Amino acid sequence: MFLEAIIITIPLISMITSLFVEKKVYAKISTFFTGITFLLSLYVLIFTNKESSLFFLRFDGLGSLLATYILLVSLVIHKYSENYMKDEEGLKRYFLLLDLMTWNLLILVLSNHLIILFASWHLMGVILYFLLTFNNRRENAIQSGRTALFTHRIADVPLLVAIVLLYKQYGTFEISKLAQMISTGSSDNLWIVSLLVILSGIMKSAQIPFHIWLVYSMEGPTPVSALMHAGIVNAGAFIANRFAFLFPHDLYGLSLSFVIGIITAIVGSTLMLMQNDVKKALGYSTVGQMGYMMMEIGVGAFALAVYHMMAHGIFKATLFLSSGGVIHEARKDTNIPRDEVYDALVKKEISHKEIPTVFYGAITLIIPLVLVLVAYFTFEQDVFLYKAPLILLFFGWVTSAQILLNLFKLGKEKPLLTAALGAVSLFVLLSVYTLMSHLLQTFIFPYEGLQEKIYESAFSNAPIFLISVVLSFIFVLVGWILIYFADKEKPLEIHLSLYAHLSRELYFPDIYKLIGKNFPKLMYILSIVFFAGLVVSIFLHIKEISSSFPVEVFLLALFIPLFPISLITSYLIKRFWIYSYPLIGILGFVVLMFINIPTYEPIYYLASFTLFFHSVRAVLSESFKESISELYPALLSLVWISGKEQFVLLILPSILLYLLGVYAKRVLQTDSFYYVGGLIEKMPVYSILLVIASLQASLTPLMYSFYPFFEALLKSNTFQMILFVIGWFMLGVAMALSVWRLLHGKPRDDIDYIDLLRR
Amino acid sequence: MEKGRKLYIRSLVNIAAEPIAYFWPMRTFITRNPLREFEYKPFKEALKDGELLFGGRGYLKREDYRYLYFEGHMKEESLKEGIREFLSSVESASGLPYEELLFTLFVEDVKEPSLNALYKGKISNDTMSVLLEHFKEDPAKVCKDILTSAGLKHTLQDIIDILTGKDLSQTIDELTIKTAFDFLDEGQSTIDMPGRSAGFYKAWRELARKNLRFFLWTGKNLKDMVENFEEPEDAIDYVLKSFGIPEDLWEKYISLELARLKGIAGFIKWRSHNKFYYWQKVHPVDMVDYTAIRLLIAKAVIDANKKDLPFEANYKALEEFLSKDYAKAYLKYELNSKRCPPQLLDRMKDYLKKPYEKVEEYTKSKAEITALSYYQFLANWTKKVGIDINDLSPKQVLDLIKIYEKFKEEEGYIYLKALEDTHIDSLVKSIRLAQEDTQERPIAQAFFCIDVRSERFRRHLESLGRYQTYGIAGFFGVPVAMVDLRKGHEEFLCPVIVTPKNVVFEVPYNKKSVEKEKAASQILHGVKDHILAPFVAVEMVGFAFGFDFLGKTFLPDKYLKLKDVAFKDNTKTSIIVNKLSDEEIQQIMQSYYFTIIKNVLRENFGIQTISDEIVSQVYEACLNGNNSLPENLKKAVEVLRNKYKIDRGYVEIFKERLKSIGFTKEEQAFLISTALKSTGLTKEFAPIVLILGHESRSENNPYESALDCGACGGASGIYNARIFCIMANDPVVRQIMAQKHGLQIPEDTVFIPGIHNTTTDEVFLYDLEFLPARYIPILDKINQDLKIAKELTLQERAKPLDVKNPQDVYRKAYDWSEVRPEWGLSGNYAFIIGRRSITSFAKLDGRVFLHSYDYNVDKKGFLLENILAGPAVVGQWINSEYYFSTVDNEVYGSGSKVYHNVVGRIGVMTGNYSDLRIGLPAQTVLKEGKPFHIPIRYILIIEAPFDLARNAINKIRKIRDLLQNGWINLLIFDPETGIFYRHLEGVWVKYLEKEEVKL
Repeated sequence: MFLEAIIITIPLISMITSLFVEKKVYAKISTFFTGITFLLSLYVLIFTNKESSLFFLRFDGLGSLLATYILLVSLVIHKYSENYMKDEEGLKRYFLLLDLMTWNLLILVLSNHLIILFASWHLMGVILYFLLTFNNRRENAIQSGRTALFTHRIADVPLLVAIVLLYKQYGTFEISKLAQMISTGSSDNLWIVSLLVILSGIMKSAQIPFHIWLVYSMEGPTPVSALMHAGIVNAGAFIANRFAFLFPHDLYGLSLSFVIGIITAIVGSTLMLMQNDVKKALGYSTVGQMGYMMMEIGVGAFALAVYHMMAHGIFKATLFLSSGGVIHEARKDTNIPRDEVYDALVKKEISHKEIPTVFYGAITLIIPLVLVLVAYFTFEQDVFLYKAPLILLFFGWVTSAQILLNLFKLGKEKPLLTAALGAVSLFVLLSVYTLMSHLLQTFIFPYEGLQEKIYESAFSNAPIFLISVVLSFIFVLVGWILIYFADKEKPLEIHLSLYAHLSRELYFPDIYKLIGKNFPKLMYILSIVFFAGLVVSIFLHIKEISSSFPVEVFLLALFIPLFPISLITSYLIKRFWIYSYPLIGILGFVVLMFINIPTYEPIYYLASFTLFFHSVRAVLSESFKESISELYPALLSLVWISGKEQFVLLILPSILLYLLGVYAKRVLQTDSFYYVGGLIEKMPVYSILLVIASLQASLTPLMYSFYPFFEALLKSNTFQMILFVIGWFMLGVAMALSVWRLLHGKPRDDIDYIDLLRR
Repeated sequence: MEKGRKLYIRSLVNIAAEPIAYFWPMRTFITRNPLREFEYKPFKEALKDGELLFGGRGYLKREDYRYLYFEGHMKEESLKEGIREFLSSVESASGLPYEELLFTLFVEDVKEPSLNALYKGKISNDTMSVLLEHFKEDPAKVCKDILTSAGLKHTLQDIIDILTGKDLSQTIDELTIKTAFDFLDEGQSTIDMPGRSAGFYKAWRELARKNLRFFLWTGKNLKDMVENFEEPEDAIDYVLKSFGIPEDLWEKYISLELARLKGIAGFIKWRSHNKFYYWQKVHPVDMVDYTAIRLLIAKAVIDANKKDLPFEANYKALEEFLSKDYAKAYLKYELNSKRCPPQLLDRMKDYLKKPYEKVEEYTKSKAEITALSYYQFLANWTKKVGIDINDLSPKQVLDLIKIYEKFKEEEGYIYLKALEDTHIDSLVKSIRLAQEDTQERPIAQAFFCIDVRSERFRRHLESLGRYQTYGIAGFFGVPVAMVDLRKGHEEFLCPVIVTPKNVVFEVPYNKKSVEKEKAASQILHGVKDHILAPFVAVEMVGFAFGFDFLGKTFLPDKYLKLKDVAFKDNTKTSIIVNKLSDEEIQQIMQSYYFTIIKNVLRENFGIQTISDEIVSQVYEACLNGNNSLPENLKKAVEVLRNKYKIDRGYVEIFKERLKSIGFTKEEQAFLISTALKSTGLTKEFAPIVLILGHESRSENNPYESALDCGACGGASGIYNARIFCIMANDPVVRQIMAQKHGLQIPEDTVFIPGIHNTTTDEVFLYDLEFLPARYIPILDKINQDLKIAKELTLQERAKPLDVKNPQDVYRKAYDWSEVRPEWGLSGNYAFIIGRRSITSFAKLDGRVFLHSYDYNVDKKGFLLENILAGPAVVGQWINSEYYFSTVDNEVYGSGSKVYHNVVGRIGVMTGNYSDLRIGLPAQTVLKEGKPFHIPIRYILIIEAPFDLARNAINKIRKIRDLLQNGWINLLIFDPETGIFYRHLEGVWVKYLEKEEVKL
């Protein structure tokens, strides 16, 4: 109990110390604290047998294992960064973010409460954004940070919906309770929830087509990349395991995971082979590995996926942290063929006996097959009961064959010895691997027999499995053809085409860019679509409207905005923002005192559309003025649903932003987001406030403004929920695209920056 | 296209590419001046040109100079003198205490005029109207300036950017970068770009037609153009014509386009000029190819965006837009390049609706805001010297502003000169007249590289007594093409300005061990470069990386040493330095070809019993076409000739190449005696002469070769040292030296090679197994002393590296998180040619190149000329690389290491993609953003009689040019009169007189 409490508070304490000490000292303290936390966590993992709970947290097998793993990675990253980042401006900010990220990940893996889980799931993307844009002067860094943020925010959407659905059905936020209820009680429509959960995991785990954020995240400092590839991107395996109890009832989630996983694995792996730079190559390698991990999830091997993510995490972090060594390698091995004269002098062709190729072939194919089967049978006798893991065996077999093939190439003189050596080492490795997966399985699953159930449901869609396996074979075949013809002097047409497409990463980055470029247009189309939907929905309720739509609603709608009257409100604020905004706010408050909010269905539609519509408009805002004039109607429309007592909670974020806008206007002489930049460097206190204000304004979980929103979500039907969730997504986009613009960029020389609270 | 036109375009491109400096692959980092091609111009002009072309600053910012001032690197007097000189060149600089004002501006942090800090008090009307007149812009003139900047400072896409805010360059750059790296990749990617042997343009053209990405960003344009132009010259001609750029601007325009990605262009330029480079041989590329591709992409991208532009995308239309529609153009320019004051930003939209009516209002408001911001600035500034700005007359205010504006242009140079004068002053003061050595015979003499880092070690070694040290360029005068054991191909170990004529081979004593190391990496590669295998492999071995993960982080030096012990290959080798005799050549060839023949006969033809006779028959048949062989052997001959290239012509070439290996004894004697003479060591040899090359050790450092020996082409100096010693220890060579070159080396003197590791300051001696036993006791003593010297040097280096004890400095070499394993040559500022005794009492802090030279040995000055033409020039390269990387690290340096991403195994870029970063990283020259390297121009000091030195200087054109154009400072220290002469503004002046030091 006590230890656990310490574990989760230490990172917070570390962050607080940053306020009082000099930056290099803070770096040391932060590392030290992380080390302590890691040791404590290790102790808890090894010596504390029973599960323990603490407020909303629960230290179960999965949680403590991953917490320890995260702390280990974080410790190494801390220690590494202490030296590596020593010259960077904003060192304090960096370590603060690192601590925050560590803490957030701890909360994520330990939380036993749906909303807290969701909050940390969501914050992961936000903190990541700030880590990736650490190089805040560079335009490319901001762009890739945004890609990451958007992808993560999209990924939050399914989980949010899943949580709403779970809460609606079971009425509890407690995950352990849910697990119990679901394993014993009814399970209608649970397949939707499990599908949403897996979808969220797929998106955060960089599966195609959501992989670009990961591959293009090299704008962050190297240790951040290491952290990301070792920790953050593994979210998919974690979330599936956390909600493992849902999957016996799954229908499509696991199949989806498998199909996307296998495609990602192969495509990622292929693209890795085509990258010119080391970091992107590592990035694509991770994409491939994540594909394999999700594939393991897809076949139901949940524990194995956790093992994979940890083994891969350590492996990939090491590679990232040493990625500067490529030049060292290149100096040692230049890739330039050896001089013949040199060969004549130094090397002599060693003659040896020719052994028939068939023999090699047979050995390389058969030995691994036997080994793999033996290894599996030794530890998991019932492996053939559930056919899904066979796919994994196939991969094991290919790998072993490849290793043997290489061994043969090397040890031509002594084929038998080589074969024996290879066989023994392969056997040892495979045993370790199967043993580990077996051990983990018993450790992290909440109850006995769950694994079998998941295996069962994983293999319920046999045709999908078959088709994707066949497809993957075709993929690989094409890959081999490409490699085979790569050496030819005169390239073939097909080779050229394949290369042209593959070397451009199948155009995913371009598609992302185009989407970014045409975002306003897309939004416009979306608005029209929803507007049409709105008209239809209201039309269905036309009777209610005509019969009892009170006049005061119109008055109310001016201050508590409701589409289309909200357009007037937003215009008024935009026109005279400094004066009009406080006035409208106060009037809104007054009006609410006197008029009761009616509870008509059509108003729910209108309100949800108002949130969506003004959020979309907020995306295009270029200054505080415009941003406030959209935020007010967007946020306040929620009052119509969640009730008047939420008014204050909802108006606060926009007031904060308004005040910050007024300050900017006074100091910088403009409230435009685009004129000055570099506030993060020049006005740190202001910047922090701005970030907090904008997080509130974008209804971030754990911020108080989230509750009215969640409340509204619970009350809404499907169409409204879609509008709400998209509106919620858009608000976040709006903040990142416009308000945060101020933070980045190069500070101007001809502007005098004056921070808040300056000493 | 007709031949003449084609030639014209080719030469045009090559001339246009001249301003771009070379970029060497990072395996061998070569420090050079990024503005090297401007060295024929005066320094100040070159900086301006650099700014126009690359957008880089030529001087530090004022605040950084201020920082250096307060750190004590700049004397107040020198600075004030600079200011006075400046003021004397300006008219109307009277009436106010300008000297004090400008000095205050420098030392005190007076905030520059800022648009949001305006003067709030009252300003007299007269002053205001004078100011308004001064600051008011003429839109027509601004537009005209923009037009003239086309092709001089801006490309078409740049102008589109500043006028409309549409950043097309980013798209163009990105498309070019990806294309270029695909082609230039040297083995990072497993699946390569196809068809590269046809050359860059042709290979790209094949792919561009199929590349959908170009379609996404440029529509059908690019594809059509690519179809049309088979040759790059056509494409260049077409694009520039379609842009309508006047033909006399073409050269500049191409330069600008090339300068946008100066790293990639510099690398291509270097490759195209280095026919020896393997990758250039197999994948040829030149500037014309690159220019064509770049221009085609630019054209296509611009065309794809033309419908959003207010003018047609060509020069003519631009000219029209800027002259006829100037008000609109001006306002757009003001808005989109964010030149408009923040207060007017909101109104900009209205202005743009009616540009002609509103432009006047805008320029007026802008002038007012600017005037007020300046006035506020002046008020703050003058207050510091006790003047109230409101007391000044309008004219005085205006004069002050004008002088300030002028000063802003000139100040960098003033600070630079003040820094230099201060440095020269203290350096000259620390030099003393040479003393005759009176001490007993030294136990050892040691040769070090001239590298600034040697100075510390030399000083500490000398302090232990009975050691003499010499400085010489680290290849020790033996330029070689080395074929080292593990690589098996030639590498040039000499300064890049030399092309070596001789090849030497490293050969192992034991041939087996060579293969061992490859095994592990081959398996790893096989699994890694596979599509399916990596997944399970990671599960199997992923955790094994945990050792590295933890070991390298928490116990870097211990862990890595352990690893070294376990895995390092310690094969003993020797080097073939001498020419091979004919018999040896014959034997090598026979054994090589006979083995091949035997293998072929056995494996392809199943012949099991092969006698030597048959083999030699087959061999003969291959060469001479003998037909008396049995049928199956004839077939074998066919195979051998076609597949294994065993025929007369080829074998002859092979023989010739074997013949070219090594040096003749005469060559060796010449090289050794020249090297020794140029350092002045011709007599009184110690029993042991150490020849110490240098190298560095660092982990995870793409810039590791920048820390190695520049004189050895960015490689370790050990091979040159070993070769030197093999030659110098050879009795035959010594005999020739005595006879021909008059250099008598005592029989009991032995040369021992070694390597000085500049990161750890350890010295390892090599080839000791040949040493007669009687040297062992002295050697033990020497080894002990080297250890002490190491400790002392580490101690000295600890402080600037911000660590407490030597062990921590040492650790940096092994730490993978270390971005600054050592300071490298950071701080270098001077090059002293002269005897060691003139500097041996000075503590030069590892910042000065020391080349030993004794004018007594060099009556005619030939040796001095050699030093000036070689090492001294290379020193200047290094100095300017450090200079520019410091003054503008983003443009001329490579920015922070923490974002670096190694690409194509040739260089680094920043983040996801960028140009190849040139120059040095921030961590090498800056410390937490402040200059650690003090950027001043090279100071060359020659210790020689004035006339001898001056004649030598005049004979070496490069040095003369650098001197006349103000790229270097030059001083001559006449040892006979004890006078320093300094070259100032074209004339030699007496600078300081040294008294004979009386002991």
